[in-house]
Amino acid sequence: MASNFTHFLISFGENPQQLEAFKQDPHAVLDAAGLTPAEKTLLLSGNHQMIRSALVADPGLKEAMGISLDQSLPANWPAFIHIIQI
Amino acid sequence: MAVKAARALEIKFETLMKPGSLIVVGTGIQFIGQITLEARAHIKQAEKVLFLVNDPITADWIRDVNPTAESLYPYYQQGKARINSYVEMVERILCEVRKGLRVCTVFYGHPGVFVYPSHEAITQARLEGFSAKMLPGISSEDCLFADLGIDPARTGCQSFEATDFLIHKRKFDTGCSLILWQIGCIGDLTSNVGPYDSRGLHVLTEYLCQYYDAAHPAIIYEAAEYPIFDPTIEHVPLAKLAETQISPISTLYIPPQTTASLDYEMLDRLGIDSHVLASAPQTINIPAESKKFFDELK
Repeated sequence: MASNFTHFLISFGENPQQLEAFKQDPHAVLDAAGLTPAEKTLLLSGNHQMIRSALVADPGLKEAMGISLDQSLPANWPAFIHIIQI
Repeated sequence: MAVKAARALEIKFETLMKPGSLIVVGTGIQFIGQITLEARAHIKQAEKVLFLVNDPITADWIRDVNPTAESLYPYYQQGKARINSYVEMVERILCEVRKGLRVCTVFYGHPGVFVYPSHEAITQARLEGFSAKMLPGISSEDCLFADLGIDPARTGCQSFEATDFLIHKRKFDTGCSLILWQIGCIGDLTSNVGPYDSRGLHVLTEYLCQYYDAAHPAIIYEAAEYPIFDPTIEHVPLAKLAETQISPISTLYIPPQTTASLDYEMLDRLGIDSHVLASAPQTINIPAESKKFFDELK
């Protein structure tokens, strides 16, 4: 999944016109990107947790995060930090 | 002349610094698109990159830009106190700086907002005689202002971490906007990744309802991580807060309930004509969408 799918997601951050086109007609943009049916379904679901889980399930991306293959990663983790002054 | 003298001092200062430096940058909230050109350049040119980001695409992108990149994620462990993880991260960062390398550390969002190890690493590096600097990034709060259409200058804005807000009984003004962060993990000081206990949210709701009307509008907000999705913006009456589905990174926005009164003595002292203020439109930081939602409920 990693390369084509991730490049496609990254491209939205660099190409606002493509993002606008996706919002107007997502099927046309997904077809033009050559994504697999599973990847298309994932993006059309609109569920970012599912997308994140799918990305993290990719061994290459999991390794990029610095997480060993036998370690599980939550669907979402608070990135912020409690700063408690006692 | 003064510029030359300042530059000479700067050069002298630089020569006194030990080799090895630290620059801390942020990736913004939405992957890739919110990284500044300056941050990207530092990631690219660093001799060692260490990063702590929460999505694999950004992690992959950082490693692509600089192959020396190493994740700090392994320091998080289930059940381990977060502070211990952060102390270890700081030590790992300093270890590379002490080798004399130009180190760039990358954090999710703004690297100085709700990020303990970034500030600690900079403080420690400077104490040890190394050059250390932080660059600003796009934080969740920046996204919130843009997505909710809030201008913090209009009524003022108070911003607290939710647990901190409760345990210190922070003073706040119901005439100003109130932002509470991390309402999904109130009271949790560990790195537990299981389902979050909603007890804290019930406590927060009860506490806030002592100061606001139960029906006062509130918004549960979550910035969009992926550009193809919209941010989460859920309108809810304050008293129903604990009944709402939230995530560990949900934020609570409460618009002002009252309009602030004027201090006429202060107006006099500042030479401000109160008639000019009286003719100005009264504004209250309730986003248009939120107002519509609650108007329809009436």
